Amino acid sequence: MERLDHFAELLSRCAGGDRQAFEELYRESSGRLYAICLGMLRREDLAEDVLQDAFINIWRGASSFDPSRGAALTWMTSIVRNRALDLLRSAHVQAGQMSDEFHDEDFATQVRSPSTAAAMDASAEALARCLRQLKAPQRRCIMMAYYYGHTHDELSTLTGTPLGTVKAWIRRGLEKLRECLG
Amino acid sequence: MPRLDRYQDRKVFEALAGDYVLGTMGGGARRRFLELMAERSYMREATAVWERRLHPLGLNIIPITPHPRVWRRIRREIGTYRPPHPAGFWGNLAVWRSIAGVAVLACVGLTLWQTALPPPVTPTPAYVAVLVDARQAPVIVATAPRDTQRLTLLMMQAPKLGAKSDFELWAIPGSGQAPVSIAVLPRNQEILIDLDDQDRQVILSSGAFAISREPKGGSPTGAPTGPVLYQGELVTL
Repeated sequence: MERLDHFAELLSRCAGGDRQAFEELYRESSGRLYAICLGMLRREDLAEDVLQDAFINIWRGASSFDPSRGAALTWMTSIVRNRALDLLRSAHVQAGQMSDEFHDEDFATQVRSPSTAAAMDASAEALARCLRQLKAPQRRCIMMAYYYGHTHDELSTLTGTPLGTVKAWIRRGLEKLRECLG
Repeated sequence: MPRLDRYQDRKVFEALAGDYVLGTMGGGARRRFLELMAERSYMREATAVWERRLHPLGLNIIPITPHPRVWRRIRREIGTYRPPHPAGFWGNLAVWRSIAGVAVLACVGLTLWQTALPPPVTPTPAYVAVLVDARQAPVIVATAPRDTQRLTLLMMQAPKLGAKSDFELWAIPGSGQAPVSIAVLPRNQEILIDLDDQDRQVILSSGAFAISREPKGGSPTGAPTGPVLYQGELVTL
């Protein structure tokens, strides 16, 4: 929690034009945010473009961050993922090919880095606990969508499951998460 | 006309917000949701709640360090800079010897700074350029190590620059080609610029630098628009 609050403090200094705070923010958060970009776009050039745009938006929009509405990293993650999703959904951009590692059913355990996650934040811990309560296909689809930016259609193709079933898994999974997390 | 559409049903809009944040909507659905969100605060609120619920997933990801060029581009865009390197190589006698007799101007410039800077840890520079003003007085020393990963600029005097202007560093290719922007310079005594492959190629093939005075934030056109104040050739040591 200490580190996450630290991000909020850095953002507020960014809002005041403190460039050293911005550099520190970049140094400490860009690895995680870049990993999100790369997972979704699977192309270094696109992931770098998204990260660059996102951080410029973070710098320029730092004053609009409101700590009472959520954690700083949540705010930054939204900016990064929305930018990545916009790019993924634009007609003229092709994400990179899925490499074999992305097909691994247990990819979620590869993505997770439990030693840091639990220690870092109670919200991550609560989410992990709630995710464990979902049925395996629900959890898998939700995590594939989150980390790799797949649409319902793509998930249907990738998992070899009818579209309606995939939609139901995700809808039910999200409902359960909402009930569990409040 | 009923004013209550289905998007005002809590079950509907909460599910949509969840799909939006998770990212499963296709392009068309995503655009429609953005339009709805723009006009309905309760949808923005539902989206924010889902962001708080789901984005902790991002905490679990194993970080991957992005290439240094990303930070360079961001810094160029917003005009930020790296803080000065904790230790320079300027006090290193070996560096001195290697430079001496090769780049006389460099030595002149370095002498000015020899005593002012901390002990060395960085590798010996392999390339040096001394940028001089119109009266041939050295103003800035640029150096790069053999691998040319980074260019270091050291201001030997504080050049006068108004608040509405910035210095911009250019590589000047021979044969009349257009200058290539390397960076808009912060107002530091020591400036470190990470070079990518493209910069490296341009710098090594051009062999000369120039610094022009540009509007705040750098040239708006991508070519020098202000006067060239300092220039110098790159010397290989």
